[in-house]
Amino acid sequence: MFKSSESIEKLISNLARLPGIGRKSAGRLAFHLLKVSKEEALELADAIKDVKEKVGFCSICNNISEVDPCYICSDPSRRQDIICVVEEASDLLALDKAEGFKGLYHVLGGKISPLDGIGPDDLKISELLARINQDIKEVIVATNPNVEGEATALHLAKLLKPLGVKITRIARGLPVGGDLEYADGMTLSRALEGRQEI
Amino acid sequence: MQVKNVKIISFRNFKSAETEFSAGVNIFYGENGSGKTNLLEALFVLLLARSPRGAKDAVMLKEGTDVFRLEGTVTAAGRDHQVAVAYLDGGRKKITLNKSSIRTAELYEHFAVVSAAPDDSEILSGAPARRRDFINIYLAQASLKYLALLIDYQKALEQKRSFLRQKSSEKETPYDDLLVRYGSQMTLERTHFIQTLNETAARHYEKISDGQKLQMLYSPSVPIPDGSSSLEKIEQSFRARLAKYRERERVLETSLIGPHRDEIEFSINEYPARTHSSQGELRTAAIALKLAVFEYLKKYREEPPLLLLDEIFAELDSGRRDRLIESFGQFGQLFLTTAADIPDRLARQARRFHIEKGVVIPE
Ligand SMILES: [Zn+2]
Repeated sequence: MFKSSESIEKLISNLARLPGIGRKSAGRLAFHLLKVSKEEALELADAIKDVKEKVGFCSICNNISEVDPCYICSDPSRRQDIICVVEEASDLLALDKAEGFKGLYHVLGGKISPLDGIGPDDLKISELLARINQDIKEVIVATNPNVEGEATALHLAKLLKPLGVKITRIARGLPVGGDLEYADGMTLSRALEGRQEI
Repeated sequence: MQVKNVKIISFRNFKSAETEFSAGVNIFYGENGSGKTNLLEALFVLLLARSPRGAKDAVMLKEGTDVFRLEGTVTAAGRDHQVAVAYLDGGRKKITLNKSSIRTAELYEHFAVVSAAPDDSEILSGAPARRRDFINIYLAQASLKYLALLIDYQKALEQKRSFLRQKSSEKETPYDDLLVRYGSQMTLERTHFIQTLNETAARHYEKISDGQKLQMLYSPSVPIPDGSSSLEKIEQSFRARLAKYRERERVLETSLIGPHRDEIEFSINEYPARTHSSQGELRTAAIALKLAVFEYLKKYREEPPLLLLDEIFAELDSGRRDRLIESFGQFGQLFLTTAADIPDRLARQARRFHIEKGVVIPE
């Protein structure tokens, strides 16, 4: 490819580092960016810069947020005695859209999956345990209803039980193989209502 | 259960074949190596997307090809279904039912098939994995709950093995609790299934073999507390066993406890079949076992499963052949390959197909 331009080469190798982008597609993207207007290309550059500078993680619940603590953790109208544990921030968004639940959240940042190199220590579990005090009455474990989600739920239950908090698991009203992110609002509200103690 | 027609592309020694079947008895005849057995296998794969002989998918490809495809019209519970099982380049399987793409497990919801072949004697005499596979294929057809447990258990087991290979300092793996939960339920389901099969298979074996005794005994990796069929007791026993072997599992970096280590012991006239039985006894016992499975599935699914019989009359005299066919009772659609004479009861109503070098010629 164009060995003549060092800056193009640099762009290509940066793009090729993104997940799902090979050298070939990286080249295509780079040449596309060369062709578009300067404004359009810089808009993308600014968007990336903005995200990295402004968006981070909530230091309490690990939700994605532009402010710290996030809008959920700093909302006094929400119930402060109940925490719903989810795998990813996208699950939090899906559940919060479902209405019905107006408590706090905790984002683990994944699920226990040794096959993907993720063990219990790679998740925000100790941060969750640190949040449990007398004021917290219930923890709802809303990890996905698949093998990895179930294993993560059982692991959490084992660690939470000695702390004397009520632990519940959202009902398996979700379609099998369907992950939280894609479940519709109705299914999720019902799943939250039908949660069972574990 | 009835396969009305089938289309086979690049499967074993079939390049391309298409044929319709009779609703009753279908007989495949032809020389050894003509493809009779492969045709039975194709029917099994069409219904459950796996080989009855445990062959890997890639092994079923026609030489020099990297894709196979099976299609057919299958009647189940009074309804016609269009089924297609395709093995795609790269090892993926694509299964469609009535034009929508489905997961393998859904096939078990609709279809049931029992296959009997000479190498079934390995169920009694082969490695333990062969016996577990036998239980899995047929119990999954009777219990969708068991199938779901089996799939999830396998996934959890892979995770546990991966965790053990990563040499964590953790005492127990984060997948032990889940394996106890799924594994205990599997153990319980296997207990009931094997109990029923044991009684039925013994009855059939006694009849075919003139009074000989066959016994099938479940010997689970997790000992079941005396006569208990309580899930809670099995879970307790499972946990205790895991605790005892935890250190060894850590050192060996593999999982040693659970249904994936179960054993089933067969005995004929009170001697262990693996070491003491003749080839003839083993084959007859394997047939009795398949009769028991057929009866079980027929009762559970309220219609006879598809029946595939590969050369099972070969070593029987005509009296035993007749008794064997009688034992199946009311069967639905039957496919059989044979070089030997066919019992009159079957021959009279049969449709015959000549198989020659991967070509199906209806008579
Ligand atoms: Zn927060």
